[in-house]
Amino acid sequence: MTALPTHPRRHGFTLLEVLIAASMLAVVIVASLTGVISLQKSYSATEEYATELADQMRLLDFLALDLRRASAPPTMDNDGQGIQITVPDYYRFNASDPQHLFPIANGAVVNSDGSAAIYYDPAAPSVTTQTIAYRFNNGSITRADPWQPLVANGSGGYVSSGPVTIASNMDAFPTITPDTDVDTTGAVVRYNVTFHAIFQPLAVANQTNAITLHNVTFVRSKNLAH
Amino acid sequence: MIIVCVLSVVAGSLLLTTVARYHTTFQSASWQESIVAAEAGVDLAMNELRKRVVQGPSASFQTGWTTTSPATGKAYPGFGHAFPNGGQPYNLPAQPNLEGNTTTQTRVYLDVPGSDTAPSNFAVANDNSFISQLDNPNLRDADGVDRSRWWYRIRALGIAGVSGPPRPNIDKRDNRLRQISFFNDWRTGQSLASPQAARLVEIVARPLTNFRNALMADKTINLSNQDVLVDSYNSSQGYYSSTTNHGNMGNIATNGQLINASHATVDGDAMTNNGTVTNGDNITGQQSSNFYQELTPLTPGMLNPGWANVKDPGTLTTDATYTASTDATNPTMVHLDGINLPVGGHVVNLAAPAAASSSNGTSTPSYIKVYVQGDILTNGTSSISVANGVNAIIYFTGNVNLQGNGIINGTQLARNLVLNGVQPPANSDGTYPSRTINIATTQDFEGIVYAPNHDLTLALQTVAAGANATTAGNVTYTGTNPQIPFLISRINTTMTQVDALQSDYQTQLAKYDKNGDNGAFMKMQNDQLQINQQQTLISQLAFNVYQLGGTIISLTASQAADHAQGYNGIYGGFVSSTITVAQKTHVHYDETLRTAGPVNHYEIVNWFEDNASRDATGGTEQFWWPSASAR
Repeated sequence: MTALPTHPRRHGFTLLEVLIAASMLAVVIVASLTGVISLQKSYSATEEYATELADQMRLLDFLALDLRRASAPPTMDNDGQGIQITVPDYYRFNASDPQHLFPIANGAVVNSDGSAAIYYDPAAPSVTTQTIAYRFNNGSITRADPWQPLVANGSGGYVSSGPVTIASNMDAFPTITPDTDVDTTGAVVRYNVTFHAIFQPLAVANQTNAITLHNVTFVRSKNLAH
Repeated sequence: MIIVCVLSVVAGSLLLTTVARYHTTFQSASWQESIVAAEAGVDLAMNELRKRVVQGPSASFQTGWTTTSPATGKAYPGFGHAFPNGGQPYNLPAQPNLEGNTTTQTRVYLDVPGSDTAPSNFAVANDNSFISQLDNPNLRDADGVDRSRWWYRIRALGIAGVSGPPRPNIDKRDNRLRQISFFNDWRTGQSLASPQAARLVEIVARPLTNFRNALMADKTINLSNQDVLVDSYNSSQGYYSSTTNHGNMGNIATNGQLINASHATVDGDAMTNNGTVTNGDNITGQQSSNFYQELTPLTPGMLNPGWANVKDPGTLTTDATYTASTDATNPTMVHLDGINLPVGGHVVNLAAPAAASSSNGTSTPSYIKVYVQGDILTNGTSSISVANGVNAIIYFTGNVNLQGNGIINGTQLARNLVLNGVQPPANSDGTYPSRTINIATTQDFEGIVYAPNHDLTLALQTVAAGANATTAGNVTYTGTNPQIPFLISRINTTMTQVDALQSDYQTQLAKYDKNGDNGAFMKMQNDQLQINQQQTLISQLAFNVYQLGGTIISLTASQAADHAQGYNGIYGGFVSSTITVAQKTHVHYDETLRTAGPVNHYEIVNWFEDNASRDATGGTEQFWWPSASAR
């Protein structure tokens, strides 16, 4: 008897194997996708958190900077959505050299009642001031000051770049009030900056980052008005 | 693999973001620390200014400070009088162990925002009145100039190291705000070994003098009762008037915790040092609790060493006359162990030199200083008389008790009479013995008191009908009415009563020797109503003088009106350890005193930061801002 020729047996995956493999792959894919999504969520949350924290620090730093040199306590806008901070105008834009601001002049005067004022411009013997404005609009806060970076106006001159957004994702304007516990003249200003930013882009209701930073600043140039 | 790549990309992005934000935190922290370093520089420079007030120009900067030149090798540019090291900055030793194991440095520039030859832009520097000059010439600079009265500019640069790699923030807004220098100092262009945050603060400090408030106590103020009044007037506008020369700068302030206003009227502010104001319902100004004014004790070492050469031993108990000098820089100096004038009409005259007198009763200024190393006491009709035109500064180490006529200031301006309480020698336990000043005269008192170690009582004696006269001296009439322009009234009458009884008073005036002779206590001569101190007659008819026409120069209708209601007036400014105002005493603060007197300390009047810098060439002071291309 002649032996039947042997054919190499074709080994395939059994259905069961395929099902198992597919299941495992699905598990891996699902796990991976879940990890990616989680990582993306984590990335988004971290990014949002870090950005908002940076915004908070920036806003506090700007407010502290401007309030320290203010000549009077800040005034709140009528709609409660902004403040005006008056700052002595010691330095003035000079069109001949737009990259620098020059000291206006030097001089000081004591008024007849003994109060003092510093006039840096003898040609204009009065205290000149500039106003720095903070406004809240659509969750962002802008800051506009007369010493904003200058940009070319296209005709050889320079103009202020205008209000700059310094913080985003806020749900309200900061609380800025005189700290009457310390001082009744308004020279000490207390302010709280709270963010209730919603994580983006996976916005979920009530899933917010709410952090309040507190600061107290003494209005150091207030004596100028005394 | 794809999944691994995706995960790696996401994880990498997350890591980059986290690291960048991590560095942002460090940069922000360093930026915050740099302003602390700058403010420390301002504080220390202010401290040095105050030290100069006491120790003079020899006062040195803090131990360990250096005065190396700026990196450019040039003195700080400018205008102004560099103080005192030719414009070089003072460098505070580096402070280690900060955020990220970095250090901070402070560099301080101190100068005058005027010029050495033209400080005229600064008005306070021009107050060269006698009472504003330092007694001890050693407190002035080597050239004899008293620069304590100048306004100073302090620029303090705080530098804090930034940990982490020299990498800008991913948000340009943070870069613009904090302007971290990574490889080169953006102010000087100098290369840096490591990143740093630097912030510059510029302030102008003005000198503050002792008499900024009507009443200033180191401890407590007690106004005693509702008849007390504290308000202000401006002596450059004439005499006090409750209607035409009256102000609301009658501030009362204490470094302590308590002011008992006792329902007294205060036309001004009431300020404590974290304390309370009780019964302050008649205070018209603000009440605050954040007051503090450093009181520099007046020590024997701050007095002119030349006093030792003019010592006149013994206590003065009877009449004496010392003539003032017309040279303000070389005043007459009188050095006594004490002044004790008993009842009996003894008068110590601080007289004007003959050349300074004029026929119309006015005098050119003359100057005298008296140093009493003991007590000053007056009683009854005895007095210390400071002649018209004489500027007198009296130093004393003991107690002062002014009764009766007290000290009569002929010029009737507070700045012409200064009472300076000198700190007595310390007890063995380091404390200082208590000293008192009691001003309880029957006369008005015009003068200034600076005595941080003394307890002061202002309690002028209420003038009742039949009591002594409330003023003495000449009343000059400058009108043209040939008739007698004054009415004389009894002391407690009101102006309405004066009008009603006009004829009666004219009759009484006639009784008291209109033409003047025989020692009458008042007389008319050359359009002057002279009121002499013939106390026997005065005690029979206390009087007021009311103006009917023309101008009364040296006795105002308001003074007379005050007296008519039983009030006596104190005109000037007062600084002491404690202050009590009693009786019906009215304190009228002279507003011109705000900038008069020796400088006590300095006050920051403006604050600007991150504003000015030297440019890269060491030339003009400029506000630096990066060029458009760099932005």
